[in-house]
Amino acid sequence: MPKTSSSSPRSVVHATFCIERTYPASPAQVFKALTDPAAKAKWFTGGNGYTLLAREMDVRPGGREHLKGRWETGVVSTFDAVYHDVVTDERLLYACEMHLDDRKISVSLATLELKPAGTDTHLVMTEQGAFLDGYDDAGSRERGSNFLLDALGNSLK
Amino acid sequence: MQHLAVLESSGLVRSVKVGRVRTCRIEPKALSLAEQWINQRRAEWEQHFDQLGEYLNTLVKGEGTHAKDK
Repeated sequence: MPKTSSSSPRSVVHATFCIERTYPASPAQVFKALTDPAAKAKWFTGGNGYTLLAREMDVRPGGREHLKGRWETGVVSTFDAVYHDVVTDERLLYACEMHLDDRKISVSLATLELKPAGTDTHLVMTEQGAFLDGYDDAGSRERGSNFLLDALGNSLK
Repeated sequence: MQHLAVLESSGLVRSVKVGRVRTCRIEPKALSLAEQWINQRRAEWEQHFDQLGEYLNTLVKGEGTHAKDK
């Protein structure tokens, strides 16, 4: 049973964000990097302080992806997705839920679209989510801040 | 009013109507937590997509067919 706390009442925030990138690679190469377990393992990593505990993926309609790892703080994050639409070299849709330890922190729908742009590939990722009360913990906040500082540092390079 | 309804449904804004006057206030806690969480998710994906770019660069360089100055 999830614990309840008077300091963190139940809440849901709905939000959508969109990230666009252009890569000097073919849509087939980008699609493979997104869907092939060995290829995805080469770039989809948690970085420093992250220990991978489990990783499985089976990209086809109805197929699942499971990713579990422990952060420096000891918090274990779990990502569980079900793929709903898979169009080779063009599109991926999956619904996913995320947990921090045993707290469910979000349920969302992600869409990844690939479009050829000359010899490059334009990638658009849209995530539409319901962000739940469970994210309000020190571990995720610290982690979030670190990511933001890293992102800021990278943008200044 | 439509925008206000959206903000209210997100929990970021509360409003009270007294007579003809509607008073809105921002929920600072909801705003900061929601922003924090969504910014975090976005930042994670930005980082993943940077890493994807580095990985793709190694692929295309390895092939030698997609010559491009870095």
